[in-house]
Amino acid sequence: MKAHGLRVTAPPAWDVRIFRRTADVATVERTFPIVHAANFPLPARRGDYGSGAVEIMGPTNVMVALVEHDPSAAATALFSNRGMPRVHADDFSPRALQRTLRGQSGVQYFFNEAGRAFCLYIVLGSHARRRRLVEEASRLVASMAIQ
Amino acid sequence: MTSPTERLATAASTVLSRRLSRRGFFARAAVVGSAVTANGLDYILHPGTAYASVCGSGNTCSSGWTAMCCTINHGVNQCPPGTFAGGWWKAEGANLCGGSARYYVDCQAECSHCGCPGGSHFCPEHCWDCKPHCAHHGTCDERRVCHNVFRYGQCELDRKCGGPVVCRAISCTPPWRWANCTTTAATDNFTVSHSAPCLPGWSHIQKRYTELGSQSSVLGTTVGREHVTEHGHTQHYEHGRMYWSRHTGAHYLDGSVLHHYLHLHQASSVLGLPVTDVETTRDKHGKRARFQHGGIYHQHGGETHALWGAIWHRWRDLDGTAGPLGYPTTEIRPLHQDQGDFARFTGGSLYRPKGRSPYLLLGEIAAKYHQLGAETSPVGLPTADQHPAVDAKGVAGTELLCAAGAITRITGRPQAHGVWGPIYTTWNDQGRAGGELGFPVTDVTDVTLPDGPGQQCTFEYGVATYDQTTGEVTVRTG
Amino acid sequence: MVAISIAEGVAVLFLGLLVVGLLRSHAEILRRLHDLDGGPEETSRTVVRTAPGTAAANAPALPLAGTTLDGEAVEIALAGSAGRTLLAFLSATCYTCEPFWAALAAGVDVPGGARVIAVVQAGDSVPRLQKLAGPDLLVIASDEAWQSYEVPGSPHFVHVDGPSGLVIGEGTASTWAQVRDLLEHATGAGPQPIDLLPPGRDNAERIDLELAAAGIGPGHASLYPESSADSLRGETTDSGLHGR
Repeated sequence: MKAHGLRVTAPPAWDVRIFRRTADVATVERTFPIVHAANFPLPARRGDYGSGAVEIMGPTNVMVALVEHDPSAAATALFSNRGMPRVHADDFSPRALQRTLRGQSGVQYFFNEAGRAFCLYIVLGSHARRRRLVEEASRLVASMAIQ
Repeated sequence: MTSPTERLATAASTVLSRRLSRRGFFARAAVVGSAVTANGLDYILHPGTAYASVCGSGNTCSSGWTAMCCTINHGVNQCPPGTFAGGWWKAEGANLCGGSARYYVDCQAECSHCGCPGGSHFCPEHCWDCKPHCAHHGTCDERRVCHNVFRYGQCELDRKCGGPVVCRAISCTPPWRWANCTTTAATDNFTVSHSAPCLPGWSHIQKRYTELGSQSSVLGTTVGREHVTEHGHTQHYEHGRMYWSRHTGAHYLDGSVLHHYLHLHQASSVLGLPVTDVETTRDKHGKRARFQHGGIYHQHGGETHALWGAIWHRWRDLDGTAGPLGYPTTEIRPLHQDQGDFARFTGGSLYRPKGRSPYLLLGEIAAKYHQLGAETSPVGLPTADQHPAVDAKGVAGTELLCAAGAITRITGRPQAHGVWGPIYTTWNDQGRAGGELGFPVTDVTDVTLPDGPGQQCTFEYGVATYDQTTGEVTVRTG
Repeated sequence: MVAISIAEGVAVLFLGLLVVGLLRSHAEILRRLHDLDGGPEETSRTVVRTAPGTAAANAPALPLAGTTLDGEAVEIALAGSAGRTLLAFLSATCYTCEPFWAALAAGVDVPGGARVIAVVQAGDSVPRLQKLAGPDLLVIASDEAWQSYEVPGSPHFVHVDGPSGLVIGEGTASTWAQVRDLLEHATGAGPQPIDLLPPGRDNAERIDLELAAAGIGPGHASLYPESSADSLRGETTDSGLHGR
């Protein structure tokens, strides 16, 4: 599937959403595309970093969020890493979560590609099973393309 | 064919199955029954949601969310020392922001002892300035502190490396207005109710604070939540306070005006509650705030004083700081032996004898009056405002009439002079400045006459001498 | 006197509730007996094809791709997911769809715990659909799905089994109660929840899935009733962060 200059080829059994929230016209805020992908049914209401979904994850589940930032951020120190990151099981930590839920594990990468700034955030349902789950997450990440 | 009874039963069952499942009814009844059994009156009188409503959902440590900064930062709703704003998100439709969006800023620990390895954006735990723990500060906000290694990533983008989220600062104003953040929005509506006892709820004060720009306003961030007193509501801020009552509305004070108000014991003072914010005075040389029964005035580089009552009203009628009196240099003070009260100003004074209106003294007249001892001087208390006077030859001046004398000044002359005692009586009888002596050019002074002590005063057109031995006043003119 | 009146009132209320409960039980028994007798005359349209032995049954379930009412691009792989999915092909304008919108928006219990996705055609009015669907029902606009599932018209339902990746039933009905009954028959579940895992597997994975089905996930407060501080103290720091 393709939307907002992002392409994801969902592996079997994955639920993928690409969306961009409507900006609040009362302010000067800006919104950018977000990808949510999970190997379980994503709930309709989700936070940008997966709250609402992470709470219903089982130990075999994986959730991936690709959150775009303002392109001007691509030139900053935080987003200075270039290209879609390679995901390693050793990068995961039970603390690297927006919401630390028992058993889960997460990782976060900031990077830039094609002049756009992104944060890749992955949540695994089980830290103990991270080696196997990372393979699933990696397949999804490998299928993501930024245009 | 169905019988009427069956039709009735079927109809009843249809209605009931639509409205209420039997299992649901008894399950609910059982839950309520258990709660009543377990907690009795406490359950009925203190439902769990009441407590939860203060801190909102996910307020325990195991819920996995991060605590509010005010919980761990002495009530101050901002990133504590050793942290920086790492990013923000919003929750829409927040009751705590009057139905508008509520904003959350994550305060990340700085990596003070070492940096981030490789291309990582987070430093190892031994580099952190904080230790992971639960916010057990005696409140319902028991969320985590220095625990979640996560960054939203819209603030302080020049910082590539950071530690865990220490706490969350909250606002009803977008963070790019008060922190070094971009306008890239992130949303998480699940956090909409997250709060703490040290965060203000939505109120008249909070509404006004939001209109002022919240953290970007002169008040800075909130410190604790609203206090309710017998006089009204008060909210403390980093740089000021805001007060509200139904009759006065919400108004803030800061700087020396607030300091003075605190010194006077705030709303329990004679001033009452503020009815304006701290504003720049009309002449732009100072600040002021008005209250229910008075005002506090500060002159740049000068003093801050409060005025109230009749003197305040008279001063305002005279154009306040923009009028001839200028800024107050004293509070309202009582006169000697409880004869009334007075206040001094940069341009003069107002004296109010008991039961009378305040009388105006300006410039050199006021200075002479104070020099002579004011209400304890031989001229006594003023009995009227100072007013213009003219001598018999058309020379203009000003005179202040007092209970036992007068103070006058010829226009253009540097000094005023006082006349009192028997000489004043004689001069007054002759028509004061309009009489044959004209304006005094000296004060009444003590002299030694050939037959004993006396007093003398020199006027424009003569000299008056009082012989204490004979009790006579002699006037020599020409 | 007042106390006696209140006590009498409470007693009458309680007895009234008991009578209502007995009436309802009685009605239920009558209904069951009536069903055994051949059931009521057909008064509403119910056309069902359920597995096995239908044309659509056992056909592979295709991924559902389209856009949500919020404009999200969405692709949901129905095959391979852990549970079952009920696709409700509805329209904003069809009169007979209205009771389904009302039922689904209110949040229905689907036999077997299947998730419900409403599938509409791309031309339907989004504001009207938002009003009909409410905040919680997932609605996907997908002409492609209408074509690939050969939907004859609305309302129409397709029941997909995730683990097998197959369509296990499809058809139409005029009330949600009929759909629910059909699903119960199709799943053989009756009023009991469907056991998605082979029986006898009383292992951790099964327990996790059952807890998840009950809305209890990792970190759920009910798992750690005395919780918090003590549980956190037991955590270890992961060195994985440092090796990035």
